[in-house]
Amino acid sequence: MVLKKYIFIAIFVISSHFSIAQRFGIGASAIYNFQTESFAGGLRAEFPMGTFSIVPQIAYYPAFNKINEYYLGVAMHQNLFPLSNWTVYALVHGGYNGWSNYETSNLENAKYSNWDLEGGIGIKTNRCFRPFLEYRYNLKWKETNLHFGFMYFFHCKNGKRFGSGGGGKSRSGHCNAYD
Amino acid sequence: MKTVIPFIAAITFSSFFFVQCSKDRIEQKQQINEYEPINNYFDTKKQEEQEFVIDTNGQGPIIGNQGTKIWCDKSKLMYPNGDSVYYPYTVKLVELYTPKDMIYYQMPTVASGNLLTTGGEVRIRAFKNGQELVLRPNKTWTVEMPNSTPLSGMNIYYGTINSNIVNWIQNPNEFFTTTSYGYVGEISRLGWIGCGKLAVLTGTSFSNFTFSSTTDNLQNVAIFMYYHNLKSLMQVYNQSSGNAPVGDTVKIVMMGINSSQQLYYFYQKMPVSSTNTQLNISLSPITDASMTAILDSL
Repeated sequence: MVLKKYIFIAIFVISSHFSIAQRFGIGASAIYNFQTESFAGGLRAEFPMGTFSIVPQIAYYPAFNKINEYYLGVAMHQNLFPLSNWTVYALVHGGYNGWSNYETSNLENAKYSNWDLEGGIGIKTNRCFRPFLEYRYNLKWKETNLHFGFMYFFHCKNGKRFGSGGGGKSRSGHCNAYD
Repeated sequence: MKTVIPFIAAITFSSFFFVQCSKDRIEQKQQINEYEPINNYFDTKKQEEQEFVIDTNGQGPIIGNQGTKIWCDKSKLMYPNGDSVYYPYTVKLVELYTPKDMIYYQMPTVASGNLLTTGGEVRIRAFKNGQELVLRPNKTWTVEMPNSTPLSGMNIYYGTINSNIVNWIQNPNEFFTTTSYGYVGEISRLGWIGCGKLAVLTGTSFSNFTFSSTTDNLQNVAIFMYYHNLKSLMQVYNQSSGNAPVGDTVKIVMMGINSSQQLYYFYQKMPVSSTNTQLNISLSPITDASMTAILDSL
């Protein structure tokens, strides 16, 4: 348990160092879990590395939901292809899940502390203020959820291409599609 | 086209997410009804112990509320250490003649696992200055128990209680004989007295009942099985019955009381099958009056 905690801290520290030297974004999202019919709020940072990004994030499902829990984890995004002014990306997310009201669930072996893995697909714009939409599947709980939010990228100038990328075209007022 | 193909691939890929979705986490735990020990409820319902102060050497007998006659004789009493007893002394009497009263007192009619046909149960005790007295060796008191249709072959059984479970033991050569009043016998011990005989013939097949529930915790639920034709009452301990005679009809009564003092019950009349029976039951709320009516109808 302690080891896993240190792994998270290490990831955040590394990410922070990375962000000092490079551009990065922060953002927020609204989340809906289709199976638990629960709403959540999320916060995230994104550290692009070419077509690949590291995205530490947290999400909290408040107590008014059927499931009251939080997630603390890191996602990895891989840009796939451009779609008009958008970029489609695949993501994998691993994290810690603290399930507060597990005692009310009939699920066998329900417990407070859990580790989960998600896979999904997302779409985002290429601007510095960057809305995104993600559709994710949680392998642990066999649940799907939708993340809708935005990122704001620092050290980013609309209309100026920045960073390396996988072949996306640069347009006026946009960041590179493959950031 | 280059863009469309991966787009379709992505949509197809994402559609697989729906393949194995689960709502298991939001399935609520089924609420299990919990019950308190039912002894307090039974205590409020059971037959009161009657007290008779014996202060003269009369002709007797003393007669209980339900008709039990006891011919008390001071000369046949003694303290446990053998000392003689002097007037006055007290005789205490409990009379259980119906399955309802036996249930309230949790006094089934089972002798070492064998069902007894019962003609009634009484508890007769004598006290002097708070100390319980005993009958002298080889001395008896005469007891007569009322019954409008007495059966032949009834024996005198003595009840011994271990861990709140009664077992009836017959003293050899002690019998009840039938009279116009009911049964009369000579008892050689005070305490629980049972008028009964083995309820089933040798060679009878038996099966067992087990009780379970997905809605109720049966730990503190009282379970009784009454065989009306045999006039025999069995209590079920740990949700598993004793030997039930195959082919007979049993009335199963279960009672629980929750922390709000709400009474719950289960009642079913059914034949005893040749194979073991597992009953998955669910208790329902019931009023005290309705529960009493069910027990009266046994």
